Amino acid sequence: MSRAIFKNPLTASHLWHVVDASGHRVGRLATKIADLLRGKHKPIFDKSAPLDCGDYVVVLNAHKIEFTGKKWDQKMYRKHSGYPGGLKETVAKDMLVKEPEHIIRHAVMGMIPKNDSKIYLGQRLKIYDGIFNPHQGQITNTPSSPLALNMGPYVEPELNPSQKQLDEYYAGYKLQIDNNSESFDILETKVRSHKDQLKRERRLLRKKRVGELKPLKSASIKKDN
Amino acid sequence: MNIDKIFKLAKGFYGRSKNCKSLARERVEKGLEYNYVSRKLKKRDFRQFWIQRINAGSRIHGLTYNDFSRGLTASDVQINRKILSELAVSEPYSFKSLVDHSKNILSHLHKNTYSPKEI
Repeated sequence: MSRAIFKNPLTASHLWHVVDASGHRVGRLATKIADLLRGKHKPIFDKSAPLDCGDYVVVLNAHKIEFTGKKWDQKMYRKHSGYPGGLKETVAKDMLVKEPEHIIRHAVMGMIPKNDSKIYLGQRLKIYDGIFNPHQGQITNTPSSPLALNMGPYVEPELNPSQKQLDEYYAGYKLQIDNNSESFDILETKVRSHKDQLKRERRLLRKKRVGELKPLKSASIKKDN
Repeated sequence: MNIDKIFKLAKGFYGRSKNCKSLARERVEKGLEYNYVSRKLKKRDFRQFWIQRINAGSRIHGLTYNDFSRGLTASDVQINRKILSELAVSEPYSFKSLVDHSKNILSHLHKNTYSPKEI
């Protein structure tokens, strides 16, 4: 498409992004990395030239990554050798000890479009176990840009909901809460069922409104027949 | 079609289909079919392409494409996607003023209840 843009050295040069993976969730981080590799964050993005506008990403502290829920025990990494009985399975918990880089790489490669450039984009993703960044010399050679994303360890977002937002969340449902996790669970299940009921009522109303129109049409047709 | 015309169109084809009469005729006819289809597809592809660029440009200033275009349509700014994408690439400051304008409009919409999606 418009190739003249790539002649500009500022836009054509590949940036380097450094990401500290400690505390981040795998999928949330992988979506960001996949976008950076393809160059989707740049206004010069061109899907027919991902190798020209894509960037390099360095991921450090790969063993400090986190999963939510029960994925450490339940998530499987499978590969098949091609021979009968050649299926090998490793649980995510074991994979963290064996090869923590694979967890991130596997997630990112699944988010890159499946075509010939996938291999070359994968080569630009450098993942390391420790804090040491061996590409520091290469990074200093590139021109600095506000588009470069250098992420630190995961910081939990602060939540200060107002009274109005809380009322909206609990849908006008009120209960006396002790500060136990059990009572919170009970409240959440009750609120969920209450919200479902509200949704069902709304759906019925919508159906009724559609139903009001229908008999008119069918009645008119019957009269004609 | 005249065979000379066919060979002229079949230049650079793979294998025998650039030299053989019957094969060249087949390939050229199929090629012209593809040509017809891709003339229609070109319009859709370019629209996609422009939207991707505008999205990347507006995300730098903290708005998604969805919110950005909503602000523009609400204030009746009629710049098309082709020009917006060109602005995003070559004139970042004028593009930023447009984003700020749509942010301003969004804050007035729906009695301050509309909040843009966080990136």
